[in-house]
Amino acid sequence: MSILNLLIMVCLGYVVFLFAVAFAADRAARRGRGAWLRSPIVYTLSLSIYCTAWTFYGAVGFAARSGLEFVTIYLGPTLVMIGWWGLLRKMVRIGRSQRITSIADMISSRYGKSNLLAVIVTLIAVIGTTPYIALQLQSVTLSINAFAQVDLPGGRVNDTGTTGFLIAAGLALFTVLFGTRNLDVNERHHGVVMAIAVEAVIKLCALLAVGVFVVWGLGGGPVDMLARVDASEIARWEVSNSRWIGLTMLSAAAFLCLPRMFQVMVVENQDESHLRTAAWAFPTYLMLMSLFVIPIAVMGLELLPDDSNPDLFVLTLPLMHGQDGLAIFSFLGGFSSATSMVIVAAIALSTMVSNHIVMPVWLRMTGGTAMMSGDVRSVALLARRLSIAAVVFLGYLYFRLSGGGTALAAIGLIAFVGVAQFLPALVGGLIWRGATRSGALAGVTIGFVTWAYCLFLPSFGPDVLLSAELMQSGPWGVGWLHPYGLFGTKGLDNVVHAVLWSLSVNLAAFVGVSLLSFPTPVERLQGAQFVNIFDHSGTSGGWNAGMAQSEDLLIMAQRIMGPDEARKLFARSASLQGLPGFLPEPSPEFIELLERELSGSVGAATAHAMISQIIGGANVSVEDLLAVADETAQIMEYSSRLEAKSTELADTARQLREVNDKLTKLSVQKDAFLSQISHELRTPMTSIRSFSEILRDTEGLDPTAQAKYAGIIHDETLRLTRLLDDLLDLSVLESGAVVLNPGTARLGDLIDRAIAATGGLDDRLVIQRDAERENINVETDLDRLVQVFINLIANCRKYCDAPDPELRVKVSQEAEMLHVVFADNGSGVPEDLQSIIFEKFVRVGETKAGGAGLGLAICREIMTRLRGEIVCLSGSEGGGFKVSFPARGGLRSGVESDAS
Amino acid sequence: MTPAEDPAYAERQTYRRRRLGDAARLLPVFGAGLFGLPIFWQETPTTRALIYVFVAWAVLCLLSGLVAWRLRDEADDAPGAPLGEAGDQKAERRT
Repeated sequence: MSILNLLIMVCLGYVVFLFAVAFAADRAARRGRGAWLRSPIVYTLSLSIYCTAWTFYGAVGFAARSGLEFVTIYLGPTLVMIGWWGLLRKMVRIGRSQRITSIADMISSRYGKSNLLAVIVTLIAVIGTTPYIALQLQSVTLSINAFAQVDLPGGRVNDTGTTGFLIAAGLALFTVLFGTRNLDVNERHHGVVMAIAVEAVIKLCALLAVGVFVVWGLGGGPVDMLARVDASEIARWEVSNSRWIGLTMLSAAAFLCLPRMFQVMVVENQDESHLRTAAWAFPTYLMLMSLFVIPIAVMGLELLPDDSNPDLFVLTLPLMHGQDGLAIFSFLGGFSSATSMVIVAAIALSTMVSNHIVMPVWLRMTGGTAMMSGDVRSVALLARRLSIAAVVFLGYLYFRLSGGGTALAAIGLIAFVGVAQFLPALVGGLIWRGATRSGALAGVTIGFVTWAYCLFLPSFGPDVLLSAELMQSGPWGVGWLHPYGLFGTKGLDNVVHAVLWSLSVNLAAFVGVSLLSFPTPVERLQGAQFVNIFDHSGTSGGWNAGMAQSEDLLIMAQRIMGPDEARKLFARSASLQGLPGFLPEPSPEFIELLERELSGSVGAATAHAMISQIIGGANVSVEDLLAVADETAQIMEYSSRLEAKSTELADTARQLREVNDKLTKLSVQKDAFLSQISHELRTPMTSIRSFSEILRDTEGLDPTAQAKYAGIIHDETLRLTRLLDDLLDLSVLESGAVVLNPGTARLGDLIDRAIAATGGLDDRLVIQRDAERENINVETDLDRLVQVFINLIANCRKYCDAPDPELRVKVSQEAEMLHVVFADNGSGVPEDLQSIIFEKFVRVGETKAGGAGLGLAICREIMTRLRGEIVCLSGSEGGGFKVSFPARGGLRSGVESDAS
Repeated sequence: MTPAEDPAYAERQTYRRRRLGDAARLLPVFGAGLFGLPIFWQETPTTRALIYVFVAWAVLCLLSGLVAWRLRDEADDAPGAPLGEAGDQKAERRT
């Protein structure tokens, strides 16, 4: 049997083995016996799909061409991995809490679940990954050819196309079988992951085995080996600094942004703590993978003919030395690298294509609602299966059309730069809340265009996609726009040049547009949740789902998740809400949960759109919240107005209470007065009646007694008349029918008259006056004014309670107004009476002085007629009254008063 | 974290853990320094650079393993509990 046939046998056997492994793992997981499937070691090994056939074969070729520089491709991921605590942990946490299905989903979720962004990311991912898949197919066909050459020196496998097609078809079959078993991408693909883990072990062991063979079998041990390295073509350390740094950064960026890496690192992650193991185990894996690369390259250069392909040294070295078994093992390693990469890349891309392109288009074409007839679930699965086939076929097409480039590593790097364009939007969105959708769109688009112009399009060679003339001297002969030397940076390596320019303009556009644009509420909410994921592993924007119908939601969910799953979810939620049956209340929490579950199947943007169609609120939930906030503001304003009103009411009530108190007091006073006045009237009446009866009935009354009794009757009558006069006077004043008689006199004379009228200068009351100041002429109703003065002085005589009563009369003038103050040294008017002292029938104290309580009321009415006022003073020096009136023309006739 | 949950004087164990988190974040910077060093070398044989790079690599793997191992505790106590800050709070409450 020729070695080629043996190889094909082994290869087929290996494929059957892989299918069996995947099948067994899937079955174990379904039966719940798959605890070991979730071990951190499996997670770490699955990360090794970073090492594709490009690294398995290409690293040696890379080393043969440029020495130690190949190692930069592994250094970047090492740095990212050992810094897991900062960035990867955050990505994984977000991926799990938001049920992220792909890198496009991640970016779209962060920027307000924007489907446009998801579509662009998906397209770039497809464009960047297709050549990479082609590369894997090419490496497998090349390695088979290497075996054919051993059988028939100089011969080739006749039809590379057929080999490539068979491999592509087999891979597509495997991926469809094990990669689309369930719709929910967050439900792990145990079979696929297990197969990848096994392949990871095989490729590491294969490379180590070849390495051991080369160092100890061919090189004569490590010391000799080092001597051979020093003697070889790559002995001198001639690393370009810009390439060393640039490629390390590039590989780090690609490690985060490659769709397949995102798939295994974030989407397939079972447990955040697995990162802890991967943090040291994966860098160690990478180190072991690259440990023997330089020795193999050196020995290949030394032992193999000059025209042999350095990319295949791993294979040809054992073959040339008759180690067929080792060669086949090595081939299996390369085969594993190629297949695992294609499988995961196809799953990742198909998820993106079906969730972000096929499903939205299909939803729109079928009327845009999730309530249509037909099973969304089967459509989504079919979309994903077709997408897998399409992606793999695209890779095959690219492989056939490109005709197989010579250097494998070159196209790998080109793809790296392409996907690295996601980096600013991805990492920026995780650490900067100000990043907006417009910024991400601008950055990714402009970065992608720059990459295509500077690296991707020129990589096909002159006159394929770009004209030779343009590649020679730039577009329209403008050298500054040359694809490999933008703005005069021609000295740089092509890849470093493209990395520098594409990522710079990408970052600049991302930051600049983010700063200038304003995010929608959903974006801001998602931004806060992504950036502060560790503070609150909370949820995304709340649904205001008052009108959502649980049944409609259930019908939709059944179509996406499958009837059993959906019913289970609904029943669980209903029991959590304490409801019987299987239909929960469409509370915002429940809708959120449902959206998250659905987004695990169809992506965040589509799930959001579907739910919003049923709820009818579209994606205005946050705007609703804002509207509610506005309403709250209005309510607060209204309530503050109410508060002001109620304060006003309280004020009015207080005033009413005061008035009421005053009225009550007045009423009490009036009652007291009525009893007083009846007494006042009754007393004189009684004596008048008694004495007139005596005069009438007594015979022989002597004339002295007769005169005495008649005098008493006369006095009592006078007293009655005075009382009635006062009452009449007051009623006349109040009714305004009083007639004023103007006259002019000196103020001092008026006060003299008043003092004389109240009993003259008797010895008890001392009156202090200032003659100077009283020397003012006044023009007013003199009699009325004197009446007021008399009243005040008489009050003082009656009520001043000081042992040595003293009255001060002070006159002052302020503009036209004259003020005359009558102040005594007594205790003054009690405070509680000051407000009613001018009312009728009010008297201070009980009947001590026997007045009727009309004096001050009359005074006030008079002063009002004279256009002046009288106020009660309560100073520290006893009580008193102030009389103010205009010195001239202060008359108000009754007629005037009536007219006004 | 609100200030109330983040006292100025954390308990010693919590303080250690936070500094360990800082170390974990700084490790890639240190690694970049180690791997960046060879660009300054001139006229150096490839073998020396080869040995240096692999030794530095191994040291980084060891350090990363050490840090990851020390950061283990809380997650093991409560399976499924998130690592990090949430764990920190739990530790504070427990003591």
